Amino acid sequence: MALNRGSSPTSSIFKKQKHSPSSPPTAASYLSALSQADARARNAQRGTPTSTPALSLSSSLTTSTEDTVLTEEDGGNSDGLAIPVGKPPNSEQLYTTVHTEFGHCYNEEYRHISQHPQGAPVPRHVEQDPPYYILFSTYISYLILIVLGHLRDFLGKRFRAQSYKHLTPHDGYAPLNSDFDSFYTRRLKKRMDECFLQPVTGVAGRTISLLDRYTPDCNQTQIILDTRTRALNVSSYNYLGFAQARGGCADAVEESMKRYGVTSCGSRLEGGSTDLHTLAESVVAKFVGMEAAVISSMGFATNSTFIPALVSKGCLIISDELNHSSIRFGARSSGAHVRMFKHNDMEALESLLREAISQGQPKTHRPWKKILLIVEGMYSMEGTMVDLPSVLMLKEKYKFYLFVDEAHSIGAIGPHGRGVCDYFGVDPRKVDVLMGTFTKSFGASGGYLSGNKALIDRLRIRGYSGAYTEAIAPPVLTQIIASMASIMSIDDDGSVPGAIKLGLHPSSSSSTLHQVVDYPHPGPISQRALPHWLSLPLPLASGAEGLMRLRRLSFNSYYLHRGLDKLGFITYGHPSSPIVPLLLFNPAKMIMFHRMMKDRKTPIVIVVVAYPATPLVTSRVRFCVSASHTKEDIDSVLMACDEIGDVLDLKHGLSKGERWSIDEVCRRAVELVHIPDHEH
Amino acid sequence: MASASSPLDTVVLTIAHSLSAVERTFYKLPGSAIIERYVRSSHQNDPGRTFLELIIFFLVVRTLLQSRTRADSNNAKNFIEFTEKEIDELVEDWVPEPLSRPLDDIEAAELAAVPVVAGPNGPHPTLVNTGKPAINLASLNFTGLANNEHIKQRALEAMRKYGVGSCGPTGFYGNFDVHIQCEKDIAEFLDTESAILYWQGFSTISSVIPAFCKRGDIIVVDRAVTLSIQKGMEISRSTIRWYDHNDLHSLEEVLQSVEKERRKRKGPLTRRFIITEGIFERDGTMTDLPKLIELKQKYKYRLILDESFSFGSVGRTGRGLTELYNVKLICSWVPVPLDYVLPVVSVLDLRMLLNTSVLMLPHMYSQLRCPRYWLLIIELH
Repeated sequence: MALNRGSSPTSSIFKKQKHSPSSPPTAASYLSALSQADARARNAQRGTPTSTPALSLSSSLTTSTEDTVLTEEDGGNSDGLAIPVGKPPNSEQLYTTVHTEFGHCYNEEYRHISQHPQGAPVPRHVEQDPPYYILFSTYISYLILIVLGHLRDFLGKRFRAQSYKHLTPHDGYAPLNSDFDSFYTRRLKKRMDECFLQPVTGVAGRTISLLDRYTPDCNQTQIILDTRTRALNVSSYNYLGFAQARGGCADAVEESMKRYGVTSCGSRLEGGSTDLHTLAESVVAKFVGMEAAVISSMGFATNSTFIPALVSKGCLIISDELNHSSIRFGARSSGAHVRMFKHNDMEALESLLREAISQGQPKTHRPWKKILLIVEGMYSMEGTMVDLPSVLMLKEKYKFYLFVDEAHSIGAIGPHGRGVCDYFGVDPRKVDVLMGTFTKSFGASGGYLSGNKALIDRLRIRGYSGAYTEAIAPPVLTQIIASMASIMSIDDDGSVPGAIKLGLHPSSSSSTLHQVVDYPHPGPISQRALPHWLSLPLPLASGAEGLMRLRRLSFNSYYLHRGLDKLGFITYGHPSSPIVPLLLFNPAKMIMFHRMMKDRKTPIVIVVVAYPATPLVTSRVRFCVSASHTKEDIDSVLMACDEIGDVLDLKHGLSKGERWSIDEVCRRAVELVHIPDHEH
Repeated sequence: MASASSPLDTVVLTIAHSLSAVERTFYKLPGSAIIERYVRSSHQNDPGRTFLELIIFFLVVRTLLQSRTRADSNNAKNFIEFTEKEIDELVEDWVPEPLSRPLDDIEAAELAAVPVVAGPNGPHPTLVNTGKPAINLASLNFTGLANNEHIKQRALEAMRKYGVGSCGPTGFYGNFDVHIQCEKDIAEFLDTESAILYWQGFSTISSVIPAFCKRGDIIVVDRAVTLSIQKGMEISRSTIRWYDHNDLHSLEEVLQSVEKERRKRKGPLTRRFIITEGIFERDGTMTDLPKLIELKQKYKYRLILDESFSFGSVGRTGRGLTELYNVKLICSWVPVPLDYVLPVVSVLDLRMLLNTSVLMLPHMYSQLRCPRYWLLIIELH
């Protein structure tokens, strides 16, 4: 198999074992036999109508047939990814997407609404502990790695000085990286480099094309080959499946490229603003339900450049201990005092607030000027969700300002896809600042910050973003506008497109537009608030496709989350979060899990994360499900996990009696998804 | 008498019995002989020694049991005890400042005066504010490639192949073949060993500086450098020494004084950097690169040169200051944001003598949240 090319000794052992079925069953041979059986079952199930869907549709579709039958250049379906499995579609069901980008799934049963039941308590984050031998072996593995690493450094510096030159002073220059600082990168991460920096090509949609690579010298260099492997992609942040090179959004982007070009030439305050920027900001504000919004061309920089404009010396930032590094970066450069509290622990937060307010600033005991609480809507490594109702209750009592980073939650949760406020049914204006990114759900890039108009205007002139960072590019803006509009649905209120003057000014735009567009919050957007040349195809404009995407995403998240739980794995996080972490603990299992998933008949690419992104012992796999996955895709991920979980001894969650078999999980998927949160 | 002493005897006997039982069990334990030998040899008929050992033992136990997450010992001194009721009152009394002041008239006018372009930006755009065409002397489009039809066409093709967003950081399936190709092309264009793309110009230098400069390192920097450099240095927590704007004599003085201090201190060799811009964003002055390189080599500093404005605008073929002065930089870095010349991409280019580039890239990638974007650098050639 192409992916076994990793030249490490383990993979060659694998090959041998595959060719000698008579040898006693080992983990690897067992696994490969299972995955082959899995592929056989898939082929049998597909049966004869395999090639018919495209053919039978070619009569009903004319121009879009090209797109419909289109698969990647390599064409074949040996990996079972190019052509949908299961029931053949009937003639009413039209393919509007390419299956490899956005999977075809017409079964209306496979939908779920992501919503918090009103009044129900928010389930607390429970950390399941593995058996002690797992913890013990994890510590031992790290100990061995660290001891070996230091030993190699010690000997290497003495006997192979040439290859350690970059770590020792030479010619009067200090080494660029001290061996201590880079120890983790060199001695631990380098060993598992095959899991990172994988070169890819094409669209990072439901599937992704990997450029095969191998390393001749233990990951010192990676050589990229000409061959490609298509793999099921459960690792990209593509929650709503907008990573598409075809379809309504891509057409809109093409139109905007012709009209606006590809760059905006400069920063927002210094000649880089176009009417499209103003428009996009009002669309974003409308989407999140705030008065105004400001956008920035990079997600990381949204936090790191705007937080310093919100608070300064004499202010206090209270930050969740698991907040993203962009928030820490911003908080650190703001000059404000920073305190952290235990992840999602409302009691800890309250006692910290009481202490902070009563004690005042350190030493002087003067009262704080402002207290800004920064939390994330959904935490990227844990999949946990902030307990927003409790935070808002605290906010009323303690009068702090609330900043919610919705980088992962915007678009991904809530019945209307408007993020964590929508999920809990809370008025977004109770939150002071909502921040989010376009990378995750909208298939674009950049970030926004929204709040009341006075605040946003202040940020425009005070944030460094305005004067120093380049404005977001027009094609990206169009992708944002088109994808957001399709989720909101466009209300064509009889206006003549193009009749209204576009490109209102930042300071006047939001107010005038706000009067024009005065819909109840999670409602449609007026055609007049969009660029006049933007015409989305009907399924997108009517919001039907947007709704379908939201519900498919929610189904997939719940299904994968609960399926893994039922199979006996330890997972973290909220079931409606599209981020599903599966805990591995031992560092070596990360590479094995990654390799075994990639070497299957239907390759699956996953992300493994370890220290420093997580605590040392809780290394994990992070699945990112997407609306573009079909139920069969999630089935195959579950099957793969089930098989690999047995081999790698990962099932330490539910006790054996309570577990379901993989067949039962797949069969009772719909039932599983619809169990209410508190009963699961 | 016998009856009186019997309970005492019983107690003594019981103690003696249990003591010997303890002794027997102790000797049965594996490794007990070693402990015994150790205690005997350390005791050496001197109770003082045993006492000392015991104190050390308890100190070790105490240190181990102490919480790692110590409460702020500085704050503990200043901590004032309040009752719950007092805290409630204090909470009640506390009035925070508003999160933001509304703009005053001057600021509002300032914001209203920001030019907004209707339609595509270029040398003669139409302004939304006035509705009239204007000559554009504000935008950064030095080479005039912004609306080049050929670039547009190629960008369109790329969009139809890759979509718009890359949906993931470089480490996790966001490393597209176009990124790799682009980095290679830039490195080749600038004749360097390798290059790395960043998504945003501002973030390029402000994440590169803290990736290499750590606490205790020395940065010597021009007084007039742009904000992103200042932010990067702030985050790095290195020791910062300033020299007068574009004054290489002042630079030399600073370098000498740093050297003098180091000799006096006799500390270990730390990393030392000179950071400056090719063409300054503030006033457009240009750095005298050959002289700078001379100084850098003389005092053994590494040079980080921000070519945001000089790359693509000076030199015979637009390769920036190095081409203009016809010098070759070795073991220094030149970050050049491409966004001012070409669409939406920033670049850091690592001029490395050593093979360390491969090793450091993931480290810098980890500071990025946003994906990188496709770009057609081929157009530069």
